[in-house]
Amino acid sequence: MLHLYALAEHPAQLPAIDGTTLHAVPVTEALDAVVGNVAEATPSPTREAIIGHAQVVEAVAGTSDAVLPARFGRPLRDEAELTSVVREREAELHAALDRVRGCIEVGVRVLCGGGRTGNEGGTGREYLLGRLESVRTAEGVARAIEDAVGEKARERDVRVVAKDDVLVTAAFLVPRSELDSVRASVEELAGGHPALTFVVTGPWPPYSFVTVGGAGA
Amino acid sequence: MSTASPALQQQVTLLELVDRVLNKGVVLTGDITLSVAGVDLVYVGLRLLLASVATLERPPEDTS
Repeated sequence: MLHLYALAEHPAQLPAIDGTTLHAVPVTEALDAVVGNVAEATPSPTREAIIGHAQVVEAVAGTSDAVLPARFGRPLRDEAELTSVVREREAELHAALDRVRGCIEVGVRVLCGGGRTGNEGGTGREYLLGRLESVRTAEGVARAIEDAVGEKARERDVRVVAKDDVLVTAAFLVPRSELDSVRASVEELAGGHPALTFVVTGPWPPYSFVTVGGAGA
Repeated sequence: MSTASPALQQQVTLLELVDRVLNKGVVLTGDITLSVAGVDLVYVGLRLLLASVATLERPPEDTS
């Protein structure tokens, strides 16, 4: 059976990764599927398996200018099934490939102090007021991040979470040349919010901007 | 300046990685028949780590 790591612009260059044998299967005129052989029909998403998947996707993204990372999922029976499922969504996948070409993804997670949003004790009213305050703070931070990154990002996915310690999560699709500038903008914004912690992650392959076929992102 | 320490940075990066690999990206096979228990364990483990690192890092909240 075949585990799908990513779809990459044809011809895909396969990275060398210890302990993992990769194959490139030409599935459309523009796309190669990067796959590995697996024995199990139902994969276990162990920490090792998840990190292994991510490492291969990252390596493929390092050798190709346009890559569609695959979600960790059920393996495909064979190359015939792989080709068939890709062709069913060919137009969507080709459009996604054009959108992410030359781009990487930057993640931002904004954390607040523990307990702010999950009051223990206190009355129901206090809890609700605390929640409201936390949602308002999160909404303000979400707008500020969008403004700070602005036109440097080609696409964005900013979410108000306001749950546990997390206020906001955001992902930006950014041309490689803008990576440092986006980081600097977020760090500058963070400087103005000493009570919050801004964590910038990436560059990631563009996982958050290629949602094709899934139920929402 | 509210930048994350290396420990927090590392934990958040791991959480973001798991979130991307399991919840984002191209889906071609429709039904993802992953073991839900396995996924939950990974998440719970990460959330606990994240919470403990975040709590260690910050000065205690004013509880008045």
